[in-house]
Amino acid sequence: MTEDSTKSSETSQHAQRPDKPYLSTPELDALALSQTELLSELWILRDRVTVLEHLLTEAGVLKPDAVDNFELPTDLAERLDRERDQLVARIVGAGHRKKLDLDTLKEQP
Amino acid sequence: MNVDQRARAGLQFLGSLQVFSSTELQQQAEEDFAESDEAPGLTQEFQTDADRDAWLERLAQAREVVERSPAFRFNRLYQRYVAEENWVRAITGVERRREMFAKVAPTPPPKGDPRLHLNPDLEMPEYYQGVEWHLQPGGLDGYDLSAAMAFSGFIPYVFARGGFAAVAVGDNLLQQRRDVIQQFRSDSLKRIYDPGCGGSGTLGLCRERFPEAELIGGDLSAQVLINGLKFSDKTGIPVELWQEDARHTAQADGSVDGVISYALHHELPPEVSFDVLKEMFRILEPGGEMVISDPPPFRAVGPFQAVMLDWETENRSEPYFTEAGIFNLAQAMSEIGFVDVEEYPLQETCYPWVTRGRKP
Repeated sequence: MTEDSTKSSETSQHAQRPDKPYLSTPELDALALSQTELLSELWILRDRVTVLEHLLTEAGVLKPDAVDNFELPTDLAERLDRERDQLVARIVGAGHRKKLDLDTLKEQP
Repeated sequence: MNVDQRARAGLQFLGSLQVFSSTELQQQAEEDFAESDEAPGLTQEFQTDADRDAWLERLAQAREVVERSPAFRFNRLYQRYVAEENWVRAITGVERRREMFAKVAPTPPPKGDPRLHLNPDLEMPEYYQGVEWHLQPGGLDGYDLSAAMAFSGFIPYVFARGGFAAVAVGDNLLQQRRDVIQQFRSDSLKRIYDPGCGGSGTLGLCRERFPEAELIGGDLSAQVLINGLKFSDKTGIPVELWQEDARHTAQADGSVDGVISYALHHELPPEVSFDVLKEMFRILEPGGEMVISDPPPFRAVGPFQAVMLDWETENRSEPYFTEAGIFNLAQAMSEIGFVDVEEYPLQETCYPWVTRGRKP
């Protein structure tokens, strides 16, 4: 960016969201946008996994359907169980948490 | 040159969300409106032109009815989300590869290059200052890697799918421009001016129909003109670009035989729009033509579509969209002295909406 060409942006202001919510309340807007953002992140991850599987298959590292047909070894199954339980507890439990103290936090992964 | 997987997939998600919002949700919202008691009366009312106050009143009435539809409210929420996230995904994606994109970023040519006339002293008009057009953070001149942001970012993954403002899902934006250029009556233009040429894409397409024509463009933004010159270098289509206010161009009286204006007038307050038309009349030679393409005026569409167009003003940083929808470009051209003035849509959706006239 040259010094000259920045002239018009000197007075630039941020475009604000209108005060009126798109849905019935600002809180509902926030929840819907947050959910949409999560969906976006979910898609990015799915896209990435698909690309990874494709690349690994192309490179001969993975056979087609290897992931679908994979039988989890015990240690990995236990790890996934543990991580899934923690994720559910953190996300689903977020609105139900009764206390926030050091001992509780220390127990969290 | 591509953005990384995260940016690509994130932008593609926005494209899909926009398509869903502009098809299934929009169709449901349109049906909800059609079933309302007020729809027949409003539809009839919208078929006649009116003064500004009457249009604002009509729009408010129609909006109240249209907004009752939950599908419409979600449709608008997603439209706004995509409009904001375009920039977030594209800019962060470009920033993660700044070094790579910076190496090929358009830079100003040496001073004195006759192809680009930047004017550091140009005073930006009041109506333009501080506007972050289309919600672009920092405005048109705010981001140094704007060409990468657009062409490696949201254009291929989001814009190309359509479903925003007046553009329908599946519209071919490039072909629409070609179709607009076909609206010149003459087959042999020699010197064409574009008063809001941006990155000179429309001028470049003029070359297809008028291979011998000199192509001249003007714009207020230095950054888009610099990008436009790079585009010219890349395509080999020669252009001459001026950083100037379209109301006071550097072109001499009667010095061009064609003016093409693509998606400019809805970015202008009506009085500026009128003055731009006057200036184009001045620089056109007798017999010269002007072809304008913009979103349709409210008088050309039904109440549902009018509410969607009007929404752009408050929600996509399009401060003059509503006023442009009320303004009668064809009437203004006639008042200024253009003859053979016509206005018509090129598609059933009423977009692109063409207004054209000739200097006697």
